[in-house]
Amino acid sequence: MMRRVRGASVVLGLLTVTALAAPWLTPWNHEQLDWANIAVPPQFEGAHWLGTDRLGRDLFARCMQALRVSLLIGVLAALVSVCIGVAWGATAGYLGGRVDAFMMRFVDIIYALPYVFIVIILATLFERGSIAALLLAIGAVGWLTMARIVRGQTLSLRRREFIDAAIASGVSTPAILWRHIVPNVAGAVIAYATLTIPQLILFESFLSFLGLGVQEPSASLGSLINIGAQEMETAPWMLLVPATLLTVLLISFNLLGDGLRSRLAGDGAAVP
Amino acid sequence: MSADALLTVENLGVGYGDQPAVRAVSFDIARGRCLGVIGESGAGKSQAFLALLGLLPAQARVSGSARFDGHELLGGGGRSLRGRRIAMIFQDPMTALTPHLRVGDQIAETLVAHRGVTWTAARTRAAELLAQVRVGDVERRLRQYPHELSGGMRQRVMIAGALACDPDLLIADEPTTALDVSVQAQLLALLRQIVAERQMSMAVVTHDMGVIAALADDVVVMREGCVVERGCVDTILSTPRHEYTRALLAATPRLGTVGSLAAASAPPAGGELPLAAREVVVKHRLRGGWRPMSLTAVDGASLDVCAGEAVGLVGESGCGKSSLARALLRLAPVDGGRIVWLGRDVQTLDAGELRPLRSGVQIVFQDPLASLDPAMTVAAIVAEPLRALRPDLEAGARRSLVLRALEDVGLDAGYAARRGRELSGGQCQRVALARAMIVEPKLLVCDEAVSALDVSIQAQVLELLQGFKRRGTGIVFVSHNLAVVRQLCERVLVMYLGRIVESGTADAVLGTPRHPYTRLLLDAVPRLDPATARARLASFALRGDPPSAVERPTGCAFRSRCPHAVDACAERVPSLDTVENSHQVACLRWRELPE
Repeated sequence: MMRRVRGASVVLGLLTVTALAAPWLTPWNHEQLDWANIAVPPQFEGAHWLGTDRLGRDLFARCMQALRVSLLIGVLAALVSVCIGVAWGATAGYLGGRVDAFMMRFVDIIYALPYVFIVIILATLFERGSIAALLLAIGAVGWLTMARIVRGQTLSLRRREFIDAAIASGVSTPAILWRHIVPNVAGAVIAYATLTIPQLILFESFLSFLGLGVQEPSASLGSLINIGAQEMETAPWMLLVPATLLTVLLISFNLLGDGLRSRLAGDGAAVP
Repeated sequence: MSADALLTVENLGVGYGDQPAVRAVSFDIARGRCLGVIGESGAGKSQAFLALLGLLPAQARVSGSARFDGHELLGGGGRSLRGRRIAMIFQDPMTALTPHLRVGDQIAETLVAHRGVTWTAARTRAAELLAQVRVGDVERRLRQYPHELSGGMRQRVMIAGALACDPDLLIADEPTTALDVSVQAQLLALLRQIVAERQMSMAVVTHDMGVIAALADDVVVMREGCVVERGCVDTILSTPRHEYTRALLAATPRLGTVGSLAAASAPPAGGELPLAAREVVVKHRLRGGWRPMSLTAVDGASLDVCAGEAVGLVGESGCGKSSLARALLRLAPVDGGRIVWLGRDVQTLDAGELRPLRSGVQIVFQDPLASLDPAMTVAAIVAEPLRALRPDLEAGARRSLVLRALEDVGLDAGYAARRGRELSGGQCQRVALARAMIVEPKLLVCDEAVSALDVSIQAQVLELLQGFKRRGTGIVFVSHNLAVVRQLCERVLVMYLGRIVESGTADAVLGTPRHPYTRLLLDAVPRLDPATARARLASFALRGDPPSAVERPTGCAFRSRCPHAVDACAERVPSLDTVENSHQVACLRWRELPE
């Protein structure tokens, strides 16, 4: 189990570093056109290690730029969902009663709405392709499960005597939430957040694949796969390269999250 | 080694990695006799018996030999005999019973598995067995699930299951530890009777000298994996030779030794604390079901405490003693009556006005580990009340106060950076005490604060409480252990189903009890002299489990279990009557009962 976690961390580290360092690794940037090499397969000549697309843009440069966007959206959206989810879930679980019922029914209602629909509405309301709109749309659905998990954990913590001891010590309710509840749900939260990132990346890719996400000349892994799919028969590398990248990224995140879950939250813990 | 030994254990060792849990332990159990194994937590006593039955986890290394009636138990041999010729009952009958199986099927299952009888025959036998362990209304019980039974009833079911195959040896691992004293006495009497009737051998593993006195013929005293003393029960209890056995006996609180920690005279001259609890009612709302129900945990109880005085709050589990104690700190909702601190009704205080209550009244809970935040260091835990109640304090001053509070409870500065899980139960409870005492409260509420601790640790914590008392802190001491209460408290309140049934000085209530319930509770306290212990068990009169507060009997709540109940008891709720001085009793017939 630990070997897998370590392996996944190494792969993720390498991918992140390569994505960030790409501008210095390759002479090409993702917008540049190479008229001499249009739709060439992977080759060393001209430093097109992963080939080029129909417009002669370097696929390595494009993929790395897409990876940066995917990682940024995945991590930021996970962060947003952690912040909202933890605050919402801990408050509902700790206060209980009517407040809890109200807050959790709200979560249930949002859950019940078809989220693709919400996202499409949000994406069309905002300027198409704005990363902020994407983050907002993805964050709006990402925190729901987090809130449920944190609430569940808080309910069981609430019954522990150290919380009563804190109340008796005169600690205020916000301080109890911050000092006693949050640190004790952190394990489950970190584990679940790591599992959320790949879901969010996948979701973003799905939106981009539909054309609702990142717009040209920027790209995300989803939009690259979309373009690649159209060229599948004549230029298969245009599909294979971003698809492989996405798969490796998602598997690594999932392995890491799974490993963290069994270490931090215990096997069979209330983390899906 | 006697010739008729049923079980002979020689040089038994159990180890995990390079940590030995049991080291070269030898003992034997004669046919028809009961061996008591006593020791504190970590002594390796349970490990030794689990090893005999092959119930240890795979990573345990077991060495030595154990011969049971000619069969070698170690190395897999124990597995074929367990359940059939050797049966075991455990401390917690809830986790030892399968939740989704009906009681009858659970017992029948053993018979079908080991005896190969039909299910019908096995069910008939299960009914007989339940009758033998004195379970009433057998037909209904057979169809119930474990969660529908009380703790005592579950343990009876466990015993019935253990007896199913007529074992030659019954191993009881802390059989009564999780139970109330009254239920404990019933079960000890039952175990004695069954073992005598069937001429079985028994091994009882316990930390409680009272259980040893009641059941054992021979005793083995264990400490840190070794046997330190062995002998017959009378010798061990009357003239122990090893210093550890002597220390254990000395630390065991007993009713006979009158208030060794309590002040000799009644209320000390410290004056009353600014606390007054009057006719307090606490209700707990029950969730689930079609309509919301509520359970009246405390039903009109009043309480005062003097400075430097310990007031004992005693009763069986579910009697409302903890609810009342927690209501004093506004940790439980008050649905009637008033709790006044410094002239203000605590229910009406808003968040900003709570500070005098919080710094004046503190609490220590039963479970030492659960009352410490696992994410915080000892220093942060102890500093918490200071952060909240004295925010003006600088970090340096706060730290020196924390270190002094830790020192007060016998922990040096080296503990400050540790976390709860790195400490023993006794150390955790000291940290909880340091946290409570750091704001120098006038009143300390102890909710079963020593119940989870080994006797020697318990004695040390009681000594600390005594020290706080001497410095003028009032203590409300909630406990089910009358012997401990006798040791520490000047005054005692006895509760039954939410009402105070008897109150007064410890001498009066525990010395000359007037309420039949108090008398029966006192009768149930395990004695350390084997002859007395056995005689008491034989005549023990308190039957049944405490009724639930949801279905309280009309009139006097105790009448359903009271040996002196008459028709009039069903009609009127008795109020507290003064016997003499401060001694009060709530019983319609107290004048008629023999003293």
